[in-house]
Amino acid sequence: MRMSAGNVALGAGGPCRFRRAERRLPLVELTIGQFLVALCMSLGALCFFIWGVMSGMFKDVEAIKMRAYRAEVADDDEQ
Amino acid sequence: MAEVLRAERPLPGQLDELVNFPLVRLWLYWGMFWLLLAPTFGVMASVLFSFPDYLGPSEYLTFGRLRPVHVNGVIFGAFSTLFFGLCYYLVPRLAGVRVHAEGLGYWLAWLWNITLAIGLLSLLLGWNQGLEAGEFPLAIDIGIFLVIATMTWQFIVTIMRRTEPQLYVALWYLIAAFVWTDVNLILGSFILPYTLPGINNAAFHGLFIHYIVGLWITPAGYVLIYYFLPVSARNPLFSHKLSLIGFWSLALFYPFVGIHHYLYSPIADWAETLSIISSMLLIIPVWTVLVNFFGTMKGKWSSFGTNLPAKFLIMGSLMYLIGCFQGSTEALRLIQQPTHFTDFVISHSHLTVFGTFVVWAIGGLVYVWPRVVGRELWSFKMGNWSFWLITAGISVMGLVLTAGGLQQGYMWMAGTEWLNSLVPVSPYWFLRTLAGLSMDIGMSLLVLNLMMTALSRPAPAREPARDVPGGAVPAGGMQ
Repeated sequence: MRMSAGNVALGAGGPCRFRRAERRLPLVELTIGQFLVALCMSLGALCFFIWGVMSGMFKDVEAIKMRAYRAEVADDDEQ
Repeated sequence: MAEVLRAERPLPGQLDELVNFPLVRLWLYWGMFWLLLAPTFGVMASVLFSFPDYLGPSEYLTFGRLRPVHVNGVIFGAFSTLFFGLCYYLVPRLAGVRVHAEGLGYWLAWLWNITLAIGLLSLLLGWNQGLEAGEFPLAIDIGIFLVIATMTWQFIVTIMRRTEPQLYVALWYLIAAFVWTDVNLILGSFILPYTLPGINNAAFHGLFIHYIVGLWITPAGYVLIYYFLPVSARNPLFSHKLSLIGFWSLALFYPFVGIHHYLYSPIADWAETLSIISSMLLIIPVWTVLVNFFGTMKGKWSSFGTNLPAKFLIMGSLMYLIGCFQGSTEALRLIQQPTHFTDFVISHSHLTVFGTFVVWAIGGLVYVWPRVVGRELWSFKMGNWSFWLITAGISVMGLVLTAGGLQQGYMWMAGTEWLNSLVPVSPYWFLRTLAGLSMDIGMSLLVLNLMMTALSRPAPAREPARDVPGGAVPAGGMQ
């Protein structure tokens, strides 16, 4: 039995556009793949972090908040 | 060496000269349009729970078509469009230089909003890919990706040219949100729908949808509150170090969270456990941001009542606390049993996506709009009404969906037939619709207020809104 959901025909075998790639990957491989995608996202962030450390982004880390704030609000003490 | 090449940082009074106000206005006008439209589809869909026949037999107005319009309209329309507009305001101010190729921003605004309008229409017509938050047809996905990728390039080049050597936390989040989302859109829009069938497709979709929430909406929301809370409360950020701990813990833990949508599924147990652990670890970024927000308000609570943007930002933070507590605990197997497939999940998504992030975007909008139109807010009283209608609405919605959801879950666990479980929860659904109406009226009043702000004549004494940087137009009007 097939059901139509918009332009995608669904059935027990999944959307029909997958017919060409009918090769079934074992679920465990897919889970590892899923884990690897998540790991890559995290590793990307880790690389970004290492870049931050190497380029001195975290030296005197509180100073930037005052500079960013003072650029916008110069007269808060007068309120 | 990078510091040597940097241009001199502009003086505070010069920051307004860096912002392309017409461009910000264009994006925010569209953002307000979606803010009116997208939640209304949610109310329309929710009424169907109490009065299933009120929209007639039309196939275009069935729940299955209204819901994706509501979800995509809020995520990509209301929230993202406002976020883009606010980025064009805050990025040049934090970077100290004008946005790179800012003229492109006008084309992007039209491309984004026309694409979105066609996309939402296509969902009503039933052209739907069947992946939650990824329902748009391929052509729409291409338009969305093009806009976000181009904007990524614009903002990263702008940030590379910044006058300030260090990055403020809002810029860390901004870079991450755009880069992650480019990657996620490639995965979710161009690879996932065309490669993996069946449960494998569903499993990967768990990652995609949670990356939309956690690696787009969440960091984008942080961009807004880390910028707008200190300047609207007129108090420096409590701790920049803490904010960075929050950023890096989000960056390292969040990518694994998506698998928690499939607890008790055929997915490997170790992967589910990993997602539970990372979900619980998210308590770290949540607490760091909350400590920071409430610490930033320290000593400023006395002016809270008259500070409309800060009210929205802090109310959103409270919703964030509740929503994230729900989200993390939901990932525990014990809590997942009575909550999965119930309205508890809908409560969580509304408290976070709307109650937190859309509300933060509204806070930023209320702060920025008087500045970009060079007027004082038209009516503080009306703004306050909007705030309380939205607050009451989202609070009631969160409460009734949580209570109704738990009741549903425990009834199912006790073996109650699904049809029989509908009767006790129907009062909750009716209350949810009333709560949605309250939010919708609140947002309509807000948009009306902001439109009147733009149309009102500037009072001579109030004119120098752009001449005094930062707090020129205090929240809710001049104080």
